[in-house]
Amino acid sequence: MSRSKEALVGVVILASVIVVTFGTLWLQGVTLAATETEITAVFANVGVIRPGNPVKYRGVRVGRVREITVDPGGELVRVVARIQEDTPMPADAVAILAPESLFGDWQLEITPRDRFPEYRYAQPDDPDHLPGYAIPDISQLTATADRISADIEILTERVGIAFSEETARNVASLIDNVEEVTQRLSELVSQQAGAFTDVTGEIQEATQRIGEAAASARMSFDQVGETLSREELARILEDLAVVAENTREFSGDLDETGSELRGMAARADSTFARVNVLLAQVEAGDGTLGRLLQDPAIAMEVEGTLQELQLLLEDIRENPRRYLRLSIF
Amino acid sequence: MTRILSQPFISMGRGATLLAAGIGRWGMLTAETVRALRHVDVWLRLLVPQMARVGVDSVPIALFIALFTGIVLSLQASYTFTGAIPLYFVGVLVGKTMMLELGPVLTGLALSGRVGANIAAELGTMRVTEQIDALETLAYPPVAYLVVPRVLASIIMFPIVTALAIAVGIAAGWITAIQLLDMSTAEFVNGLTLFFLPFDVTYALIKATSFGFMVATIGCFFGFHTRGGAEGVGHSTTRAVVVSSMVILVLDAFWAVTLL
Repeated sequence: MSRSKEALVGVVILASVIVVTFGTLWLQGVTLAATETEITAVFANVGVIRPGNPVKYRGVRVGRVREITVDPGGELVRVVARIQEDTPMPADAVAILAPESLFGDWQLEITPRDRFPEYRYAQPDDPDHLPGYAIPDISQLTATADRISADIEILTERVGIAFSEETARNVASLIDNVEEVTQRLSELVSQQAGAFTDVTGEIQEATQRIGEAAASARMSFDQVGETLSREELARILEDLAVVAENTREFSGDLDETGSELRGMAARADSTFARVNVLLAQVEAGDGTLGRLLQDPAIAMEVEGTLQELQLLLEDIRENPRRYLRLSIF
Repeated sequence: MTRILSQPFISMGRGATLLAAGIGRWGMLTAETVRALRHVDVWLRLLVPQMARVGVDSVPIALFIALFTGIVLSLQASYTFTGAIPLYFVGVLVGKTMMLELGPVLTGLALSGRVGANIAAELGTMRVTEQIDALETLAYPPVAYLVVPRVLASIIMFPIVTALAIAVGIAAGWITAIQLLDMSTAEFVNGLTLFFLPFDVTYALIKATSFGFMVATIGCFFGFHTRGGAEGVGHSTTRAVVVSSMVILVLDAFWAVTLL
């Protein structure tokens, strides 16, 4: 065995040890040059965080998770991480475990508490430890969705119970009614469509007639135009002159008649004046008629005379032979 | 008719018996190897030469296999991840696969063909040429002289060669990702470190150590029990390679079940 062979074996072994050692440290994120410090955060649970997962501050990778242990009391989980010593730590810093992406890789993020004040952070016993909160992972969300689906299933069963046979019949009846109403509406629409068609036809007919009337009017206007343009207009004007002359003569006759009427009115006026005088005498009790109207005794006498005359006439009617005797021979 | 029907069962029983006998003889040789560790003065001076033969001489073939394994892994990962999965998962797949599976297993299979066959052929030849018998006649412990250095060299050098192969495979995948897949170093390293656990390395070394132990002991076993002439040596060599390859795969599953 030559010494060079032995040296070669030593080189291979040394190279392998170096590769394994430094490779492991490098893949773990251990930087020998940088100084690191250790932080501890406590959580109620840690989701799927594992040693080696990155620690980030404001999105910048500043370290790695080193160790995860359950607290002896069993209430909390302590996560130890190594971060760069110069990492600025907020006064109210908290640690949040959250998925780094959708593919199962998680991270520990150091953030001020007021960024997510709504989270229920686990409270550490040691004031140097950070309160922590783990955002529910997809399995927990799936479990929640599973519970929701179970609730929906129960709800569906209850709806199924509530949806009895009678309800089904009612719904079927309702559907039938709706179908009937729909059918009637359809018929109504059809009828209205027919009426509309009729109206449309009538409108078309009226339009046609209006068109024809317009054509006729146009023809009449044309005829009038032709008439006005021909000699008939002169003849009509002459006839109108004759009519005007006759009217004028009739108007003269009317003037004469008016004169006669005016004379008759004057005579009537004088007659009425005399009647007035006569009536005034009557009212004054002058003359026979005046006394008759004004004197009650005369009136009573006249009335009595009339009654007696009436009695006489009745007696004559009943007993004509008493007063009238006819003898021929 | 009865003989024909019973023949499969007879063969099966005979095979099981031979298997049990073989395992028993292998166990006895292993136990004798452990006992022979006390002969330090015998095996120690032979250890380094065996480490050179088992480990250093096997480095080229192991790195060659790892190199192309890393390239293929990177390309196939990018081909598979095109679309919904981010490309930095190429780093995850290359790193995890090389460390947990392909690095140890492919190196173990390669070394079983090279080292296991070498040991079986060498010891088989010594057996058929009665060199081992001569050692026994001279009261020189043949196991301490022949088996212990080879087994120890394999136990030591298999993990070393495997570690180098893993590193080369990952580096090959990294270069492939940068040069052929338009990935950046930051993306690949991000994926490489994303799910890395120190236990991954420990797991790979445990597997490689176990593979080395089995390859060496199986090779020694078949070499020690070689019968006949050159044909027997060839037969033992073939059986050593086949059995050690099968045992590597069985052990691979065993460690996956027990350690992961």
